Amino acid sequence: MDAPLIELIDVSKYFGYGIIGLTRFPAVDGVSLTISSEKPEVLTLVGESGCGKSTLAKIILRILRPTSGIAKYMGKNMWKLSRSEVKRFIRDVQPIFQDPMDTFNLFESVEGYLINAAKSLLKLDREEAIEKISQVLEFVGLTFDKVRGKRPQEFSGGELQRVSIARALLVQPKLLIADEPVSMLDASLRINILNFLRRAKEELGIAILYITHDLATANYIGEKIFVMYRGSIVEHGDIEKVINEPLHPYTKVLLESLPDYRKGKEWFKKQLPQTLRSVVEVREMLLKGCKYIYYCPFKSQQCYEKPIMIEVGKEHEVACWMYSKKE
Amino acid sequence: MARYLDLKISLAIIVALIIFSIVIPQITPYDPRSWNVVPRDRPPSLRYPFGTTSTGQDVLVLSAWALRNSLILGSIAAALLVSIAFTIGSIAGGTRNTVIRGLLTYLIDSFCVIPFLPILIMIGSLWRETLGIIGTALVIALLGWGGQARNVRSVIMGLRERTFTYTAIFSGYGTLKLIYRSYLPYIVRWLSIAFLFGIIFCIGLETTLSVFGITSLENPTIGTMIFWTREYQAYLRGLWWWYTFPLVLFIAFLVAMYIVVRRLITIFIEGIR
Amino acid sequence: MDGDTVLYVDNVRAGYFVGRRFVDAVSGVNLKLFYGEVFGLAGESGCGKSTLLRIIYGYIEPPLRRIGGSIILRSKTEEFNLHEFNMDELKKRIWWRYITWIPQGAMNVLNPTIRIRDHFIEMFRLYSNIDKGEAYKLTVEYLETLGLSREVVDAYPTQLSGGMRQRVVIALALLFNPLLVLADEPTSALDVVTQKVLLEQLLKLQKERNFTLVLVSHDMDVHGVLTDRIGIMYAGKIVEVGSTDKVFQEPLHPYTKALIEALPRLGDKIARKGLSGAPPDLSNPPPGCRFHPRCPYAMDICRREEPPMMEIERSRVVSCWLYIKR
Repeated sequence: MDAPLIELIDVSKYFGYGIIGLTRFPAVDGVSLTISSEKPEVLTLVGESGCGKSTLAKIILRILRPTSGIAKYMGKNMWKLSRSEVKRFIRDVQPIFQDPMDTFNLFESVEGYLINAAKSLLKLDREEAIEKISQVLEFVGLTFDKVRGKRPQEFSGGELQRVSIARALLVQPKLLIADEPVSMLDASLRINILNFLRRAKEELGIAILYITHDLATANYIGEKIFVMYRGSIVEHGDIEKVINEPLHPYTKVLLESLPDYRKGKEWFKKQLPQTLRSVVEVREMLLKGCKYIYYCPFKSQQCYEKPIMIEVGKEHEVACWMYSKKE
Repeated sequence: MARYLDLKISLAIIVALIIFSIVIPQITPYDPRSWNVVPRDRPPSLRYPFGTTSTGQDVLVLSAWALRNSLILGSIAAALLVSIAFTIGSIAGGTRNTVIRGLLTYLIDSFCVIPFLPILIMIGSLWRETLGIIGTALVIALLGWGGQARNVRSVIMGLRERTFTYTAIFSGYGTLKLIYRSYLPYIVRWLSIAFLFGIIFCIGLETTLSVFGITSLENPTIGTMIFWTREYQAYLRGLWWWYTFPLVLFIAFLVAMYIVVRRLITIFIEGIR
Repeated sequence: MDGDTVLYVDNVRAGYFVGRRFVDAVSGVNLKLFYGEVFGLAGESGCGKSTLLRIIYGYIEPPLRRIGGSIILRSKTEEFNLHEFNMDELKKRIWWRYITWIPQGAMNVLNPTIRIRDHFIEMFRLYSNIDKGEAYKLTVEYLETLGLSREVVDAYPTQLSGGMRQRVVIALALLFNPLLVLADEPTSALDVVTQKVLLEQLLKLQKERNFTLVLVSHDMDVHGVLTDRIGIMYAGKIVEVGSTDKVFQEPLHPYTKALIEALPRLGDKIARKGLSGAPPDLSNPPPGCRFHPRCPYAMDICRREEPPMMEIERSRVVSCWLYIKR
């Protein structure tokens, strides 16, 4: 069995704040996660803003170094790779970012990135490069002529995001890390981008890590889901299982809070089993135990201890003491 | 475009003053530092449009030389200052080595808090005779680069965390290509603004010193002209032309420069949006 | 004019003068709002919904200008031709009393240097002649009826969460029992869980005080659960209006259809289609129907002439050549 493509083992990332940055808080707290190199899957990472998902994305992309724990690529520590292994990493793992206008430099032509990727990562000459680029642009519904010589400002948001996807697909990666790729786009355009991602997995065999706060879009393309709350993964598993039978109190609340036009005014009837606090305490993030403790209606003494991941069904694990097996 | 009217007027003023400071010195038949070349204390007339001083110098000629010297000194000092600031600031912002970054940051911050005016006054008083225009420029640059360096450092650090930097890395850009293609446009814009602002800063600093008589006083600069008006009590004696004309030219230049810098900043920011 | 209508928006035109160009942001909008209803203004970026709200409220500053149309507000006893008021008059007579506007990002507009209660005390003293003590008592009473605890009353805005600040903003908006509340994306900056709480509170207050709530949101699901009637905007025009249930079940306008179809739902993974292209440049809009470049049903007449608003059934209008018999 091959080593997994990406493996995070108890990874944490601390940032400092306050005077001289002496107080530290974990944006990512003890996350373990595996992305296999065999069967390509669409994994989704779902959480509200501030939960640490973008930080986690940067760790997986080898942009940020974990403060503790190990991030591995093909079985080796990401930060102990040789130069050629780093080059392989860049070919295997490609990002798609949230803001297409910031993804490209406003002073550069957009095709410059594509051509450079083809030349330096795929080692193609200019003619072959343009051919490959045209192919991948076609996949997202564009042509090289539409893109040639243009700067990012000359595209609409939706078009530019498609170029961004094309750029990522060009080098034939094994894994796409898509960090909120549709959050800045209009609803009517989102589905197009999501369809491209779906096709990338189905037709091109590329694994996708789709990061979002929007469960509906995660459900549309996702097969597995990781639910993140304040730096920790609280539940993960097969997406249909988690959505239909949520285990973690936060997941339950999250699902119930999603407005759905199909429910109409009936949506208000269900009451949330949650205690609300009006005044914010930063201490939430600094908790050693379960981060959800302030809001959880089921909390107990044990929750002051950090919960471990407990397997509840096949393909369904939850980090909550309620599910610990009592013997 | 009426939109950039203030910019156009300011540029026109600056160009006019620069021409003034080039042409007049070219056609002056005598050494501007010599005294008693013209009758003293004459008010403005056709012969002497800006009047004459108590030291027997033509205010028009003197103003042109003063502007020229202030400009030369300011430009040299600004160029040196920005060069030092950019070199140190960009290494501090760009290096991945935490030790170098820490040390350079400490260095930059130290220079930021150095009270350069008192030190300049001290140096000026001690070495007034040997310093000259180039020397003064050098000293100003060596003492005042801190603020700009800090600025460069944060600009570079910010650029490194922009999304397009990551895109470039994942598109196979090497460090040099990244700097040349992605960062250079930002850097060039920054440098032009820093240089222009540096001129304002350095001229201002030199003038302050000269007004107090700290620099070499025979070389006419705006500051030294003002110094001599005080020495000869021009205000009390009603010799208004001696200080008014140079001051008007000086203020016009600085205000115009300031407007140009501000406008350029907004133009650059709009271009980036 | 029927007795149920609180606001008439008649052929309102407004836009932004940028350099030499005019961005036609609100292009001949007609709308009727009824007492006590929750009306949703839906549409995507650049459709003009926020601008329309601002025009109705009257907070118009360059480069924005209203260039035509009328806005009439009817209370039980009086009628106001709002389009004839200048901003000073609006401030004195209409704002906060009859109409309140909760702009986007309102929760960041609270003054961070004064406590929550002082915001209310200031408001009381601005609009009436009571002393500080009296104002303080009224404030505490008022906030208690709205379910805001003592903790919140005495806190500074920076100590409160985003959701709580938004609740304070809503409390401020409702202070003088206005007739009409215009809310622009009141929950966009909030997490989904806080959003539900806030929407619940808002709906509860709306039912109790029976004001007309106009909600602008790009989130169709929020419209679906909160509003009674919904108006869909595209490129500065209203393309469809109707009861929320009907519009979602049977969208008439091709844009509405595409918009609703493009919404992924939890529980199904059927492949969906989105729209191609992008909204038009409003400084140079396409001739005829503004949606025709992206419309799968575009006919020849759509490219030439703008479709009029047709009343299909009572309170159900749509602006599309597909529904006009010729």
